[in-house]
Amino acid sequence: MSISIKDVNKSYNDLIVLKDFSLELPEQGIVALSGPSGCGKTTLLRILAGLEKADSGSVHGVDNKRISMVFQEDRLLPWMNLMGNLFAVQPEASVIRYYLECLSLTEYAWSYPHELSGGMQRRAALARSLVYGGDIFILDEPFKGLDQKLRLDIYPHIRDLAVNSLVLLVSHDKEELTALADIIIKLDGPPLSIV
Amino acid sequence: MWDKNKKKLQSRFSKIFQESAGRSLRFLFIFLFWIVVWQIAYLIIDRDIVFSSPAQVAGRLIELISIDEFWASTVGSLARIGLGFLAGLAAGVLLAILSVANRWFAALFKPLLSMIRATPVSSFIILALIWMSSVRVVIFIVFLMVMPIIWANLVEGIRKTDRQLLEMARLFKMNRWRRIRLIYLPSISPFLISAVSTSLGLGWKAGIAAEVLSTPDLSLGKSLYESKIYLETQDLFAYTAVIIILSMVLEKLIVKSLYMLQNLISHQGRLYRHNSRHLLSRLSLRKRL
Ligand SMILES: Nc1ncnc2c1ncn2[C@@H]1O[C@H](COP(=O)(O)OP(=O)(O)OP(=O)(O)O)[C@@H](O)[C@H]1O
Ligand SMILES: [Mg+2]
Repeated sequence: MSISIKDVNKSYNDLIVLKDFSLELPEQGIVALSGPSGCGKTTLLRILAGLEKADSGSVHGVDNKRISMVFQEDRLLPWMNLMGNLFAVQPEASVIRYYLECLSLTEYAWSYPHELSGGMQRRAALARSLVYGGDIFILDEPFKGLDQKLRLDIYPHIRDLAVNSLVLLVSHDKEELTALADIIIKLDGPPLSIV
Repeated sequence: MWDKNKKKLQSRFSKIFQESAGRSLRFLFIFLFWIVVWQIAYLIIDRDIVFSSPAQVAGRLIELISIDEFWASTVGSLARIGLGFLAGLAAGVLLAILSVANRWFAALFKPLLSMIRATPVSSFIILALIWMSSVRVVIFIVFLMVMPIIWANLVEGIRKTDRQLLEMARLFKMNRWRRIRLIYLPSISPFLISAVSTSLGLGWKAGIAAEVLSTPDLSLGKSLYESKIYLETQDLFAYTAVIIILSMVLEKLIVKSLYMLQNLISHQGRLYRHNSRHLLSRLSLRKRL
């Protein structure tokens, strides 16, 4: 069963962010969302993840799916080192070890978030999402603050995910979109609309 | 290379040593300064019946520590006040959890909290004297002092827990226990520690005050009261000194151990590090650790 959003409405006070918004998504592959700041991308993804309730409308095909996410913010537990942060969502050490290596974070495994640079914290948030695993990965600007070389190192691992899972990727970066996305959805808003 | 490191290490040690030596010296100076002020005050007042000298108090203290009854009083006071404190702590924690869980409960009990906090301790002590036996008065008063502080601080701590982290925990399907252990406990522990340290000081003083008025057998409060009636000013000073010292030692001890507990609970990364040698051994960077 594919994933779909049907006639979803969502407003904050007077601001209409989603107005009868519908979208069909495949079960595999990388779908990139791109659009101006404030157009409603995060809101859409949060509704899809079940973190935000839509005012009306429905979301289909996510109920039995494991959803993993990189939030727009890093949201690391400040009182635990990177290892602790990853263990919090994944008990299997070998999985953690694998993704730490993929994201070049192995040598920071015992560092606390405040001891990491901004880009490392971002990679830590990405690592948490990857070690958790899932059928749907919602990645809200996961490469924020990463340099070209690091991005290129990470792309193949995102591609790997997309073989069996749906990856929803918010990105503003042209090069990133062409390198990664199977489908690019250009958005505008609010209210959110597909252009 | 090694020599250089060694030198660096030595200079660091000597720096730490100098710093701590400097601190002790400063502490000693400040201590002596106030002893001298005390002595001068004694010389000016010059009436043993209302004011004792540092030497007299020290002498009396040394006498006291060889008397069994003094130790029994100390233990008695500690036990009663400790019991009241623990009861207040438990009730405060329970009420805080209930207040956060249920908005109606919070609204209903808020006036009680404000009322207890606004009422002077002496009113409570006198009321309690009418209601119950002297030992219970002390426990009850300490309980009344401690419970609202723990309650209010914990509610604030729980409410201030980072929403974004809680949402993250929900998304990654962490169960309730895990959420408590990984998010709630670490974020409320600073609130809890400050509440314990405040309420301990307040509870101790209120407990002694209750003992002075209710005079249960074998208590520091009763000893204070008796030294007042018999105009044994040196005893009054010495017991007061004991109460101050105990208060400081207790607070240091309990707050220190709470900090240790906090480290244990929140910095579980360290525990993982300890428990995961097998993981380490396979990580390529073992040599760096
Ligand atoms: N909790 C909220 N309360 C009020 N308004 C909100 C809330 N969350 C989002 N908004 C508003 O909804 C609109 C869409 O926000 P959203 O975060 O979805 O944008 P975005 O497309 O993710 O932008 P960006 O690229 O900057 O992250 C914005 O105008 C924002 O001000
Ligand atoms: Mg956004």
